[in-house]
Amino acid sequence: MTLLVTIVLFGIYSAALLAIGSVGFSMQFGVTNVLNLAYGSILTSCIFVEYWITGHSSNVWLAMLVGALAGAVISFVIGHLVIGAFLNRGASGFSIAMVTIGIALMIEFTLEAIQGPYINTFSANVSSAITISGVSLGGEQLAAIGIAAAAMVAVHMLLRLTKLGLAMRATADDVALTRSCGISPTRTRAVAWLLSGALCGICGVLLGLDEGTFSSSTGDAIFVTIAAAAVVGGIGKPYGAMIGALLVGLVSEGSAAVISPSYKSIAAWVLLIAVLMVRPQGIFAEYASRRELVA
Amino acid sequence: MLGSRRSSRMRAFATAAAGAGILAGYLASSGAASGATPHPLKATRSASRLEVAVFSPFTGPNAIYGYFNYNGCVPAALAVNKAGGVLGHQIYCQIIDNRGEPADAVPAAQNLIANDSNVVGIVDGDSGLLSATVPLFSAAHIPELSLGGDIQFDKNKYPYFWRTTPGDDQAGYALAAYIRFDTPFRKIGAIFGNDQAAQGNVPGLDNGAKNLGLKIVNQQAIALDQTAYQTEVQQLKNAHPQVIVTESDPQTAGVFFANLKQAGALKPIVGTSGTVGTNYDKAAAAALGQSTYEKGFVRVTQYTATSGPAFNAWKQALLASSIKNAAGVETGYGPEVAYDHTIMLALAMVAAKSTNRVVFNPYIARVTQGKTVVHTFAQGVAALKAGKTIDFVGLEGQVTFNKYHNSGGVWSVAQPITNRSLKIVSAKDMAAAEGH
Repeated sequence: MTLLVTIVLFGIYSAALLAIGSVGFSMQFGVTNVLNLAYGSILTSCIFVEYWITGHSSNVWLAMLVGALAGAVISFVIGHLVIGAFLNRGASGFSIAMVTIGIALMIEFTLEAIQGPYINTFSANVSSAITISGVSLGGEQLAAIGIAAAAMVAVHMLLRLTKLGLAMRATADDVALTRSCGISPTRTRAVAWLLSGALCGICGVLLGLDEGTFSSSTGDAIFVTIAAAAVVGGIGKPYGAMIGALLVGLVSEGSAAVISPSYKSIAAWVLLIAVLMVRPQGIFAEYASRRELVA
Repeated sequence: MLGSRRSSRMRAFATAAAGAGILAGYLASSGAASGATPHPLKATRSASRLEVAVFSPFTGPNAIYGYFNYNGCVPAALAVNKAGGVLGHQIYCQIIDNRGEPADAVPAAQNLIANDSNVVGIVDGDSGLLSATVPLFSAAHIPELSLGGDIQFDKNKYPYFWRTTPGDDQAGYALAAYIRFDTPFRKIGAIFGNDQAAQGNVPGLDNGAKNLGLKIVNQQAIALDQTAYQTEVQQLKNAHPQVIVTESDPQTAGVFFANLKQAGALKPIVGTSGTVGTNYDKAAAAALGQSTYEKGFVRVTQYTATSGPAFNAWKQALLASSIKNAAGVETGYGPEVAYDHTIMLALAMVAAKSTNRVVFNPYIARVTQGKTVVHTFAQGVAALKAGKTIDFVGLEGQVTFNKYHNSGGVWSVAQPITNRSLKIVSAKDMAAAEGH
C-alpha cells in the first residue's frame, strides 16, 4: 500500500515538473512551428541565473519569479531575435532545428566554462509537509505541484478566455488566415517565446531546488522526458502536454516499482511508442500529424 | 573505478562535433604537429619534448576526473624534469578532453593518434571508455596506464594497456569484506547507478556477500538523472537493510540521498571509489547535511599513502608545480595514481634507454619488480645508473602486474571529504570474500 501511494504521489510530483516544461515546449512549437532543441539548455540557464541572482537562495517563490523572468528573456532573445532572423531569411524547419542544437551547445559550453569542474548545490530542502499512508511529501514538492496546477489553469484561461490566447490558437492553426484577420503572427509568436521561456524557467528552478545539485547539463536529461510528454499528448497542444506529463510521470514511477528502476527513463519512450502506434498524432492533437516543419 | 556518468542521447549527439572542435583547439594550442603518425618503431622524437597525454573528461559532467589526472601528471612531470628529465628530454602533460563519453572519446583518441607523435604514454581513468579506446591506443602502440576498473580488462589482452587498480568487481568483494569484518551489519541494501562503471561492482558484492554470509535484502540498478527516487527509496525501506552500499554520479546521489532522508530511511552508507571527489561530497553533503554525511558515510577505495617518502616527494612536487591553488588540490586516489603512472612511464623509458614506445613498453612492468626499492624518479634514475634493477613503490604502494597487466593494490576504508584512511581491508578478509 505504501509503495502504491509512493508511486501515485511522486508520479504526480514528477508529472507536475514535466507538465510545466512540456506545456511551455508544446505551446511554443504550436504557435511558432519551431522545434526548439535548446529548451533543455534554456532550462539549465535559468537554474544558474536563479542561483547567482538570489545568492543560492532556496526560497521557492523567489526562485520561481527569477526563473520565470530569466527564462522569458533568454527564450525571447533566442526565439524571437536569433531564430527569427533565420526564419526571415527563409531557413527551413530542419535547418532551424539544427540552429537550436547549436544554440544549446553554446549555452552549455558557456555555462561549463563559467562553472568549472565543480557542480553547484542548494541547501537541502526535505521538510515534511504532509504524510499520507506513511509517505511524506515535502513542502517544496507540494509547492511544485501547486505551482504546476496553477500554471496549467493560467495557461487554460489564457488560451480560452483572452484575445491573446485566441490569437495564439489561431496562429497555431492557420497563419495566413490569422494574418488576414488583422492579427500579427510576429507579435503572437514573440509572446509565445516569452511564455514558453517563463514556463521553462519555472520548471528549471523547481527542478534545481528539488534536486539540490545541478550542473551545466542538468536540463538535458529532463528535456528528453519533457519532449516525450509533449509528443505523447500531441505536440503543439498544451492540453495534450498536460495529459502527456501525467501519463509519463505515473508510468515512470510505476515502472520503477513493477519492472525495474533501471528502466525508469525508458518507460516514457515505451509509452510514447505505444501511444503513437495507436494515435500517431498524439492523444490530443487532431492536426499535429498534418503539420509540417516550415517557417 | 572512476566514471559513473550522466548522459543523454541528445547530448551525445549534439556534443560530438563540439568535442572534436575542443580537441582540435587543445591540439592547436599545444602545438601538435599535423599529419599521420610514423610507425612507432620508426618514430623519431626530434624535439626534446615528450608528452604524457592526460586522456580524461575536462568538460562535461565528469570534468573533475580530468583535473584529478592532470593534477597528478603535472607534479610528476615537474619531479622528472627537475631530476634531469627522461634521457635528456623534458616531459609535459597534455590535456586531451574526452568528455567522458565514448562518442567524444573515440574521435579524441583518433585525433591524438593521428596528430601527435611526441606522446609517449597515456594516463586515464574512466571505466566506461576503456572498451572503446584501449584497442585504438594499443593498435597505435601507445602505453596506457589506467585506473579504469572495467571488468572486461580483468583478463586484458592488449599489450600496451596497464592497470594499477583492480577491476570494479573486486571493489564489490572489498565492500563485502569491510561490512562483514568491520561492522555489525549483515543486511545490505545495494543501490548502484545503471551505468557500466557502477554496475561493475555488483557481481563482486553478490559473490562476496554470499561467501561471507551477508544478505542483500534489496538491490536496485537506478536510472541516472531522475527528478525523484522515492519509489526506489520506498522499496529499499521496505526491505529493512542495516547498511546501504552505493555508487552513482553526484547528481543522482544528491537526489537519492535527499529522498532517503525525506522518507526517514537513512542508514549508514558505504560508497565505492566511484564516489570519490568534491562533486560527490558536495552533492551528498547538501542532501544529507554535512554532519550526517561525515558521520554516516565511508567509502571503500584503493589505498594511497598519506605519509612516507613517496608521499613527501609527491607533496613537494605538487606544491612546487604550476597547478593553481596546489595546496588545496583535492587528493585521495585520483591525482596520486596519475602521479605514480607518470613516474612509472618516465622510469620505464630510462630503464629501457629509449623513448620509443615499443621498446620501453615492457619496462613498465620491470621497473616495479626489481630488487632496489625506490620511491621517487630521482632515486630510480640513480639506481638504474648504478646498474641496479628497481622496484618503484609510489603512492599506491607495491605494484605487481600479473600476466594481464593488472595490479590489485590495497583496499582502504576512508572518510568522506578528507579521504583520510580509517583502516585497511586486510588481504585475509579480501580472500575470504573471494571464497579462498
